[in-house]
Amino acid sequence: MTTYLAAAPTPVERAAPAPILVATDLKKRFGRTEALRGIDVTIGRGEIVAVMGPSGSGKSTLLHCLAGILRPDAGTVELEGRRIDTLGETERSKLRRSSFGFVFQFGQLVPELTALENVALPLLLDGVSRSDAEARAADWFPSLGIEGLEHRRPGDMSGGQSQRVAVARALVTGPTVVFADEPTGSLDSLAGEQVMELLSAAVASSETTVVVVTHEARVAAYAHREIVVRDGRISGVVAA
Amino acid sequence: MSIQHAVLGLLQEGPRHGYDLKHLVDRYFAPDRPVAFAQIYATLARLESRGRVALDAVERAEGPDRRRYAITEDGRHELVRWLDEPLAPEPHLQAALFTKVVLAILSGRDVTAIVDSERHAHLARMRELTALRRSAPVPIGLLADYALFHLEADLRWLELTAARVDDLRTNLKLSTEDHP
Amino acid sequence: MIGLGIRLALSGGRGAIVGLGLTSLAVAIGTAVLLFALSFAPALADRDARTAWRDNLRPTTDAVDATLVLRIEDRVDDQLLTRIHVAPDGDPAAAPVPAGLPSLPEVGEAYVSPALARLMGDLPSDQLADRIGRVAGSVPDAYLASPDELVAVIGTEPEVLRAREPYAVTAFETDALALELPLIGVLILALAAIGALAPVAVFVATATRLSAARREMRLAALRLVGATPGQIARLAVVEALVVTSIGSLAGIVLFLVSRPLVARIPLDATTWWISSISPPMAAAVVMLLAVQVVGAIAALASMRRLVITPLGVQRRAAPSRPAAWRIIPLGLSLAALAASVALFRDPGLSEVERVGMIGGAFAAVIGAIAFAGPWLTVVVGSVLHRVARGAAALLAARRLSDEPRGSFGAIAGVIMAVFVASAFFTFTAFARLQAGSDVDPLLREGGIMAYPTGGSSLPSGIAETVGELDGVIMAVEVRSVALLEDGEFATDYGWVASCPDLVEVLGLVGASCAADGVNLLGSADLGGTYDVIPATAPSAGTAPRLGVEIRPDPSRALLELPADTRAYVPAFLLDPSAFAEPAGVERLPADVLYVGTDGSAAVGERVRTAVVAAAPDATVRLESERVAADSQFAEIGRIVGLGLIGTLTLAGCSLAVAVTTATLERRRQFVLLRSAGMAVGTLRSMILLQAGVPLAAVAIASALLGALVGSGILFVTSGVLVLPDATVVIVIGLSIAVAMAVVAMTLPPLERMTRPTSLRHE
Repeated sequence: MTTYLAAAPTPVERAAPAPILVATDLKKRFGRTEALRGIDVTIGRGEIVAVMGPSGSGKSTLLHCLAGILRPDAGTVELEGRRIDTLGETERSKLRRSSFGFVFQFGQLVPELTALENVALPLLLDGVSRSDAEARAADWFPSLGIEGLEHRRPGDMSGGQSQRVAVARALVTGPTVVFADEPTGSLDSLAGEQVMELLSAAVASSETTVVVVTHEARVAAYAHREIVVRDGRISGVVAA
Repeated sequence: MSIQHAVLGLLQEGPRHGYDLKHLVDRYFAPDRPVAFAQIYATLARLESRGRVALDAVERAEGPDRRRYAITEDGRHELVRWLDEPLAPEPHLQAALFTKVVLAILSGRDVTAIVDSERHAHLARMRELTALRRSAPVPIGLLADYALFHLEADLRWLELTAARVDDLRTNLKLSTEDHP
Repeated sequence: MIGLGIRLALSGGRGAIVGLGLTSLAVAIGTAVLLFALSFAPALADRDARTAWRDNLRPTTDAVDATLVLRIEDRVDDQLLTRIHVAPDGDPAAAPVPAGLPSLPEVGEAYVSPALARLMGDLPSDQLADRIGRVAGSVPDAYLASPDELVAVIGTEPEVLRAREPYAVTAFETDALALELPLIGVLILALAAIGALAPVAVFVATATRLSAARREMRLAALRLVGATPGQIARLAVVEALVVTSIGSLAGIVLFLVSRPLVARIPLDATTWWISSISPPMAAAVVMLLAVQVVGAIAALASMRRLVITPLGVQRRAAPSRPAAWRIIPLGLSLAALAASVALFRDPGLSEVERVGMIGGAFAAVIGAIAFAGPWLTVVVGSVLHRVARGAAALLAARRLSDEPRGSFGAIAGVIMAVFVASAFFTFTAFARLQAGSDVDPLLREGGIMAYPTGGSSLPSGIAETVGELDGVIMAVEVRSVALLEDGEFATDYGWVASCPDLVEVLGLVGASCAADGVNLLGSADLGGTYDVIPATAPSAGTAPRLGVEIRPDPSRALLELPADTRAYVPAFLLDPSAFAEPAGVERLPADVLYVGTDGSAAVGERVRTAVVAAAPDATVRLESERVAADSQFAEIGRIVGLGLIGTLTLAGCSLAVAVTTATLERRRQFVLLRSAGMAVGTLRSMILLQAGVPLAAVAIASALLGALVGSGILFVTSGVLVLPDATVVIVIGLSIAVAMAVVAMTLPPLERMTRPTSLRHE
């Protein structure tokens, strides 16, 4: 077996990419729990980075802080050199829908809207007209293998289909960074791999950065590198 | 399992007879498949020839001579080198990984560092396999999947071990103490 | 954005539709109630304007070419019959004519309302038509208080009217007189409106919660993809506006549909013209807009916590536990109520201020109950926790302590309804006390009394006329008199009447008349020579007088009367035999006629007709009216009672919705509990306990409070200490029972909903 697999191509050595998302000394506590105890992260343009770590290590909190969902108690987050942790809620909301995309484990689609409308949602929120927004949204369906599902409701789709709709929604605005929190957590291996395959293929051409929180090594294997969070700190930074 | 490194690791605590070493190796590393005495003596001979162990003393008692070996400076370097370097990630690394973790504990080293470096190595290999699967024909892709799942299983086991390292440490310390 | 909001509100699964429907229904009911409340004053004003021509009579002093008007409130068939006797005073051609009539009716003719015309056709003429005369035309609708009103404008001899203190009118008014409801009635109605609105508000709030969990999830999802708090707020407002506008439209329809029914609810013994129940357009528009605004504000308020984080409910901070200080506003509002009740008699305050003050304080008490409720629920929960034996009680107790707001929210409607109910049943107990108190308690079954309304007397010979009617057993004339001794008033007034006849007609069992005709009823001490004059005589000088000599007799026995009637009888009763010349008694005017009958309805009407034909201004009271008497208080009590039924129904709806919502929200937990081996029965008893225990505890507390508040208000405003009667207990017991039945109704689907397989498709 090893003989076949020995032919595996070594992934192309990437030149150190230009940093796009830089966090320094992030700290965040919830009540008595210290979720982040000083984290430094630099993520480059076009990188796919896996955030790994045991349950409760703070990896989701790190993602929420990087994505401007949560505000860190201390430390800074910069997107393309601009501080985003100090922005107001409205500014961060705008940033989330223009520069970021999100794929979460579940519950992220609006159950009342069809798949197409869900994908068009960030555009609608940005003031794009409904027909334009739905036309742009529809473009994503073939490449994610969900053609024909445009007018289904989330409740009428399988988990894998829902996640692919979520990927389409995350990508529809042409974001700088896509954040994914356990995107395959509720899927079986095949569906999970399809989602990761589509996500990584979709971002490869557009230099979109992906930060994916996962506890699955197979999912992390789609990333260019991994960051391990343990007890709110970065653990095991291994020189590449 | 690497008996060489197991022996080196056991000698790190102090000089031992071949007889003791056999029993300790059996006890810690191969409880289900005891090693032969001959294998221990062969290993010691090879290590001695490379200068990694040295004869410490010969005790004359009833029966055959009992030769006691001690680890050398070279032996210590080799042990540390081996512990620090991740294994080439292939499926079925259980024995080697297990040896490493136990030795790390016995030598008082940080187990999470081993886990991190193993994870890094594993993920690098998994990345290669993932890329391979994307480009290779389906049968090869399925083999790659097989390898990926096994590597993942090893990693998960390793992570679980790391999470339970305190239990393991207490347990190992107890058994070395009651077996001088 | 607006389109998106509308889509979000209208699309969605069956659950969302049910939520939307219930919330709209709640808004619709609230809107309809508010529209009726707004219509109340205009409807009264309309009614008063329609009847101004006969109610707002302005007598003129220099009466030249006036119309004499005498208005008599008569009864027929247990309904009010308004007779308006008119006659020209001076030139008949120049006499003013009531609005809507072609001319004054000739003597013996009458203009009648359509309802009266129908009734005249239904009843034999000796029971009704003979009172009215020949029908010459009808009184137009525009001059009637209600379509059912019985009104007759009767042409009468001017001399007959002049003898009976008529109004001399030079013009018939079209402006209404001020509102004639007694202040306490206005107060009760105002409080009832407040009391009815509180459960409506609770129902709206509960129905909104039905889809809240789903909406929170949806809006959190929207936040995640980058909707700004402002956009979320706009979406929530648009959604709320969709619901409130649908609800408001439905409310207008509900108002229009139920208006004919509401028009049948009498006030002041009078039903309503359907068209007069219409709110002022401007106020209605403002109110409808206010409903939208309130709905939007409520939506924003419920969004408040979500706006903080796109992670939605996951990271929602647990709300703090309600503390004991939540009881403070209740104390304060009760103090405010006590203060406003104390100030009720302050003459320096206007009526509006006084009613407004009490109404405001009452509303504050209701609000304070809602505010203190969660804390009371915690207390109830911890008590239950201490005494809990089984798993069901333990779980229910914990849930009460941990989620007091939700748990209380479910029962809040019932609690408020119980509070309002017990306050108002105190009022209606008072109303019953008032009802019937204007009927002479001396009347026995089938008894009738007649007396002139103006200062005049009954025509002589009336007793014979009435005595000959079918069904009449006996008619006795009574003459109220005073005694003069040496030109000075000697004692209280007394009666001159045939003693044996009166004893019989009043059914004074066991009473025996004195042989010399002098009977003492009270404590009068008679003895000597007196002049007897009519008690109603304006002055002693002009009145007819009759000498009588009474032999002093200290051992004279009192004529025994039933204990509860003594306050109503005069000091003495002189039989004609006490006078030297018994026939001379006829010269004294008779002012009361007691009639004994067989008790049938027809004989009552016959007596009325006969008396009225002889004396148009006479008032005839039937003993049976004591029960049927429609005092304003009884009516107000009935309106309040109807309101309470509605209120309790609404409260029941809120409760059912709230329990269902809570069950839906906790469905996963229930399924897991069942999977872990908990019996459905345990789940059921847990839900029952969780609703029932605080319901019973807080309902009893709130009933006591309501009765206290009701008694307090009554004691200060009318000086009567009224305790609520047993109805309160029945009402509260019934409320709790109905509420528990409502909760129990939501239980059957529980088994299906919590089947361990049911989570698969979630």
